[in-house]
This record gives sequence, C-alpha cells and structure tokens, in this order.
Amino acid sequence: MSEKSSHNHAEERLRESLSAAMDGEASELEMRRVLDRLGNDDELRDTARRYQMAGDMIRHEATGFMSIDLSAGIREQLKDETVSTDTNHSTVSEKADSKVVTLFNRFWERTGQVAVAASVTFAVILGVKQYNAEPGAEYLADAGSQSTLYQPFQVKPGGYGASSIQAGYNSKQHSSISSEQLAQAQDVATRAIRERFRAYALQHAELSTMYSGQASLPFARLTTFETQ
Amino acid sequence: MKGIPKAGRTLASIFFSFFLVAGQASATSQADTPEQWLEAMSDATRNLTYRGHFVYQQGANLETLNIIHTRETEKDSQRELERIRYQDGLPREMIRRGKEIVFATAGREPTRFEHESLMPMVGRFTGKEFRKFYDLKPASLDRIANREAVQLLVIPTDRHRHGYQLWLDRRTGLMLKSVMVDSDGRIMERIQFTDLEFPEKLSETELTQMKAVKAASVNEKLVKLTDEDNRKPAGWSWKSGWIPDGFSLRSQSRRKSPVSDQTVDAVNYSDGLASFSIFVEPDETRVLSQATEQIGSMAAVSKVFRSDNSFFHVTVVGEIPLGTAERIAVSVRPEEQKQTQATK
Repeated sequence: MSEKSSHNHAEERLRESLSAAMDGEASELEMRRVLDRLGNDDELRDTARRYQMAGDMIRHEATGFMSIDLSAGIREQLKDETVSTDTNHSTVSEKADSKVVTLFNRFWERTGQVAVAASVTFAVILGVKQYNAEPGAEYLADAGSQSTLYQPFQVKPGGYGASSIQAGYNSKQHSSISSEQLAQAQDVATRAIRERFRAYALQHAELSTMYSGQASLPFARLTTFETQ
Repeated sequence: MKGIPKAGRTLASIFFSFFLVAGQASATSQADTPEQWLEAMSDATRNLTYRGHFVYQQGANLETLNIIHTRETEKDSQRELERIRYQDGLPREMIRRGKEIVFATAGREPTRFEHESLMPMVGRFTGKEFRKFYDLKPASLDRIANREAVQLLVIPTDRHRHGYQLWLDRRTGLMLKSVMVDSDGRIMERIQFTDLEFPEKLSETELTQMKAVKAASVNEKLVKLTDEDNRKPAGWSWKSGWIPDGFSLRSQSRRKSPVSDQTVDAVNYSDGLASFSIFVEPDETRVLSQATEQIGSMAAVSKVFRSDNSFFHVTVVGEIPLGTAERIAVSVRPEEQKQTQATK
C-alpha cells in the first residue's frame, strides 16, 4: 500500500462506497469495487471492520453478538460452487449436499428483488477467500480492541441492511474475486433467504388463519410468492 | 321523533331476519357500532356456510381464488371445514378441518399442520385495547359482489400497523372486500369477492372433498403443534425485547423447521387485524447476516445473532411495516446472557 498517497481521491470514494455497502445501500458496481479492493487492501479491510462495529454499536448490539465465523458447511459449499465457473443453478442444487444448498427449491429460481444484506454476500465472498487461504486461519481479530474502535457512522433512517462483515477479514491471501464468484455468492445468499421467507410465510399464514377474523386473507397472501 | 330511530332499528332487524336463511342467523343485523361490525365479521367468517370466488391483488398481480366454508357437528363438537383453491398458475389448495390444515402445491409433498388446542377469540374488537390502536370510522354503504356492504375505515393510531378499508356484508357481516394501506396511503393489497352465496348446505361432493383425509405419507411434512412439545426443554431460550403495543400472544409452539433439521420456536402475535410471527432456531451457517424484504403486504426480516458459541436465526414475518418487523427481529436476545459486561 505504498502508493496510496497518490490514490487519495480514489481511497476516499472507496470508503464512501464501503460505507454504503455496509448500510446495504451500495449499488452492485460499488459493491464489486469494494469487494475487489477488500481482497488486497489491509487498511480498507480494517476500515470495513470498524464501520461494521460502529454500525453494531449504533444498533445497540452487544459485543457478544459480534463474531467472525464461517461454518465448515458454508465453506465446503462455496468450495464446490465457486471454484468451477460454469456451474449453473440446477447442477449446483444437485451435486452439493450442504445444508444451504438443500434449502433451494427449483421453484424458487425466478429472480427478483430481494434485499439480502450486503453482509451475506460479503460473508460468502470473504468466506471463499478464507477457505482458499488456509482452513485453520484465525478468524478472531484482537477481541479486546473491538469495543474501543469507533468511528462516526451514519445510519440512514429506514436503511435496513448489512450488519455484519466480519467473516474472513483476517485472511492472508489476496486473490481477487471474479464477478462470477460474486454473482454466484449473491445468488446463493438470495435464494437461501428467499426459500426461508417462503417457507415461513406459509407457517405464518397457518398460524394467522387460526386466529384471523378474515380467514381468507392469510392464505390469499401466499399468492404473492408464486407470482413474484 | 326521539323514540323512532331505536324502534326503527328493531323493526329493521326483524325485517332483516326474514331474509336470513334459517341456521345462519347471526347477531349481525343488530350490529350498530363499528366494533360490533368487526365482531360480526369474525363470527361470520367462522360460523357461516358460504361459497364464492374472490380476487387478491398485490402490486401488479391479480389472482383468483375460490373458497368454500362450513361448520359441522361431529361427535358433539363443532369444527370448521374450509377449502381455498388457487384458480391461477400453479395449482394450490388449502384445506382446513378443525384444528388441522393441509396446504398442497402441485408437485410437492403437502404440508400438514395440526393444532392441539385453539384459543377462544371472542370480544377482541369490542375490548378497549383495540380502540387504542385503531380508529374506527363507518363510511357510506356500497355494493360488492352484488351484495349490500357496510364500509368501515380502520385507521391505525401509531406507525406499527397498517390501515384497512373494509366492506362487510350488511346481512351477515362477512368481509366482502378489504384494502390494506400503509402509512403513506399506498395500497398494499386488495381482496374482493366477485361472487358469493350462502347455501343452506354445501354439496355432498364438496363435503367429501374436504373430508377425504389423505393418508399421511412418510415424506409428508407434518407440523404438529402440541402442548407437550412446548414443555420440552429445547436447550436454548430466547426472549423478544420489544413487541409493539397492542399486539398480544396468540400462539406459541415448537415445531420442525421448514428450512433446516432444527427445531424452531414459532410465536404468533396479533392485534386483532394484523399479525406477525417470530421464528427462532439454531443457525447452521454461522454467518452473521441480515436480510429484509417487503414481499407484497408482508414484511420479512431474517437475522442471525450469536450467543457465546451458539448462533441463532431469527425470522420475523407479518403484515406489519418493515421497520416494525426489523425492530422486533433485532430485539430478540438469548434469555440467559451472562451479565458480566453491563450494557450501558
């Protein structure tokens, strides 16, 4: 990072993008830029962590809820998925047997807008790097200093979104992330979330209908899922 | 003149009762206040025999559904029979037999729900509590599905629920049309009957279809809600730090998670009109993440949090504003957190 003095302006912009990404408000382009840079910029990664922690604090989250961890499950799955570049959805759901993948349902493959927090994608992406780097790499940064790190951080009203980006920022390897990997990781995250929402919408309809005075409504609402 | 309105009303109710088919007389013809109309709506939904089609509109989508409903006496106890069929797209069907609900989608194993006990639900609109969170305003008469309808505006008094415009059948109280609006007045969903009849009895075919109990196959997803299950310790406990005022607990159960092999805690809250559910289960991905989505009229929030070395996934879904759902989700905390670090 010796040339960074000559890149002050670019750094500034990147930081803004990062902030937006943490707030779940970055455009896809911005996010890619941040993700690309996160891979090979220690300083930026550190900034990301501090932004994140500030965000958590603002949201009154206890430090006990912060963590850096990726299960073997998701890493396994990402190994399967992101290494090969030509995987399409159906082969993914057929070959991989990890928990995340079993959540998918082909019925749910249509695309649409889902506000998966940037953090999911971050976690997934950085998880890839983590896996590639070293399975036994240490995830937890100096836990003691976490609570003291604080930067002014603006939470936009109504800006629900990313609240974690701890995964793998300590990774030592700095390979860049391909756009396919990013797209795939986003897809994985989006579909897992969608399947979760769909499944729980049905449960919610069932719970509500038992006590609803408008019995036809809870189940009618489920049509939204099939037509999106 | 003073005595006339009351007498007139009594006369009117007598007059109306002539038109009511025997066996489905309800108190609705005497409903005067908006609260009573809402109670009548709830009663009618549960007790009457009806058959009809309705449309459900959300955003640019419009779907037609078919509903039949009746109540039958079986072994000294009454139970509701109901079937909702989706008329468009992928064939889907919901059948309710008393405490049991089966939801079937073409090409998938049906999901079956069984409730152990149902809470009584009387007087929830006439209570003082309801009026604290909604203003009720009667509006002009209208006509929906060729029936006379009483119009009712249900306006929320805080930001934690949506508003409704309801059209209730003047003779039975059944909801004929409902429009849900958000705080900016945007329409979030619309449901409206296109045709509706109140037969004395459903046809044999209809009854048989609803009563034909499909044998539960091995693969079928059975979600059984028993009190016994609820008593079993799960090894984790949680609490919600914040529930919007006016919402009260309607059901609490522990069931098999539809998205993992875990057991999930399912809790349902309602304020009479709106309801939301909180689901909490151990998380397997161990990625701290959060996602929110407004899916039609439903707000959905998913959030993973950590308690020591355990990860939990909280999912909140319901017909409440997204911000409210978000706030509920982030307030969920493990029950027995070590208080070594005082939060300030």
